[in-house]
Amino acid sequence: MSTPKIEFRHVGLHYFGPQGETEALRDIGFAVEEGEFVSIVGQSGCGKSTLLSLLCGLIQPTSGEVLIDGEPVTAPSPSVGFMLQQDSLFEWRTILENAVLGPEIRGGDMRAARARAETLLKRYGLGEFRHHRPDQLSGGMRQRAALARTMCLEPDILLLDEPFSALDFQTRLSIADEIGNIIRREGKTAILVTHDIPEAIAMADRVIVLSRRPGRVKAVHPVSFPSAGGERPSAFKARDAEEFSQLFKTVWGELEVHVE
Amino acid sequence: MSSNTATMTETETATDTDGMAARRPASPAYRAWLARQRRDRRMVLVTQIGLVVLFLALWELAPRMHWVNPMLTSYPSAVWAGFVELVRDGNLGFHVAVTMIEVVASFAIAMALGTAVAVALWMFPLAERVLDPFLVLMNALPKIALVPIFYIWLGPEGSIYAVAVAVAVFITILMLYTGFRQTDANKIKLARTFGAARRQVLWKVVLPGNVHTFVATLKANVGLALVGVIVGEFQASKAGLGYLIVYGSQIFRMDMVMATIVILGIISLVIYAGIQRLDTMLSRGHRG
Repeated sequence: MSTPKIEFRHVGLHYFGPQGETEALRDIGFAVEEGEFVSIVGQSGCGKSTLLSLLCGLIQPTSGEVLIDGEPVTAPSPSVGFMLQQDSLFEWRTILENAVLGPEIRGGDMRAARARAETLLKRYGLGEFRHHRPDQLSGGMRQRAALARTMCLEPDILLLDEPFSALDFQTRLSIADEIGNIIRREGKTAILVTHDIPEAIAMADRVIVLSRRPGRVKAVHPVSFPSAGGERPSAFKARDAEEFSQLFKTVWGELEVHVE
Repeated sequence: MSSNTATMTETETATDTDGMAARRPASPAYRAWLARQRRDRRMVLVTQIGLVVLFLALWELAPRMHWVNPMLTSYPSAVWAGFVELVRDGNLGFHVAVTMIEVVASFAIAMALGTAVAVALWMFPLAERVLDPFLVLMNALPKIALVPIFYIWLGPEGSIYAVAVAVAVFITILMLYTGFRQTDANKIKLARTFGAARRQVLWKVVLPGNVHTFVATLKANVGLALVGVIVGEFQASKAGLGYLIVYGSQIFRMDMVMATIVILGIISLVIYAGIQRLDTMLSRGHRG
């Protein structure tokens, strides 16, 4: 049996505050294989972003283990790239200077990093904007610049924390499609956290549904589109497949969305 | 295909914001708007000059018509004569220089010291929690009350710097630290996902993200350093503009006092303009 790329083993997490103790996650267990794209859906406050912070090593679990390549995660590793909700581009830096932030903090060959960043920016259609400031770019372009910044460290794992939620609907669809394609083409292992069910289904090989707080794994759904003819359709086309609406209804039901 | 279309529209939007509109020939409505703007600006300037002239005229007229006692208010022409006399005696330049050196030096000391403390507080949050009430107390305390103590401890020369630094340093610490604390949490989180240590977060995110806080602190500080220096000179010195004011009032030469105050006003205006310049320069370098 080979070691999975990512594994959560009976992970629990408690937050402590002056008002008392909050149980955010309870007995989380799942594994992600190399090259797999997994979406995690859940309502806000169910601890889904916390899962990514654990994987990135920003926080430590109260109980259980978080493993990457069979090793417990203790600190942020260069092999894990994190894309946050906000692009958080530094407005005092050019796009290129933003893209090399990771290597700059990690230390290392800056000339190689800059060359890598230039290639990435060109590939993402930002080549001629590399000396622009972030505020001269549109939302979609900014998010692609943020992707270049993440990719510049050449991570094998990508953590996506609702990276499209700040975009308008149309940009959101096309950027999700684009970034999904990039991740698949480069064979990265990816975890997407979102409360947008269609987005979760359209991009992933597997959808994990989290319950309300304390977050537990409520269901796991493999995503496949036999109707599209074997090969995984792009995120954009997946939305038209007949399996899509079926899965949407199932996940919607499991999320117990109540309007209060 | 769909992603290609998205790239196209975004490229167009981006060039548009670069100022395509400016290159198009101006419409009559736009030209009328520009003319209206110019007229408004002129109006404001004319009114400002008018107000100054009106003030000076009233100030000249009132004592001459004996509406007020000229011994108490002096008047512009006498102030001008007093100014000329101060220059001719050869020591006005000296007094201005003394005050300027004191202001610049204590301003620089307060800025450096305040920045160092603010950075240290940010680096060690526990220290901040310990020191917070003391800082608030020291900031609220009227530093002018310390002048006699500084005079006894440090003598006439040292006490001037001490008052000026004391007046400016606490507000520097509090303003900078508040700015540091309000740094965008997402940017800090981002740096941490790259494995940044606290020191790196400081250099890569907190300090560059707070250039505007620095400029705001500079602006507040120049005025405060000037207050501190003048108060210090009131108490202690044998030179400087504060000394001139006290001396003038003791020999009841209101023209001399008023002339010195006008000079003080001009000095603060010049310093403020300098900082404004620095601000534009920094934000240009900052934002592109």
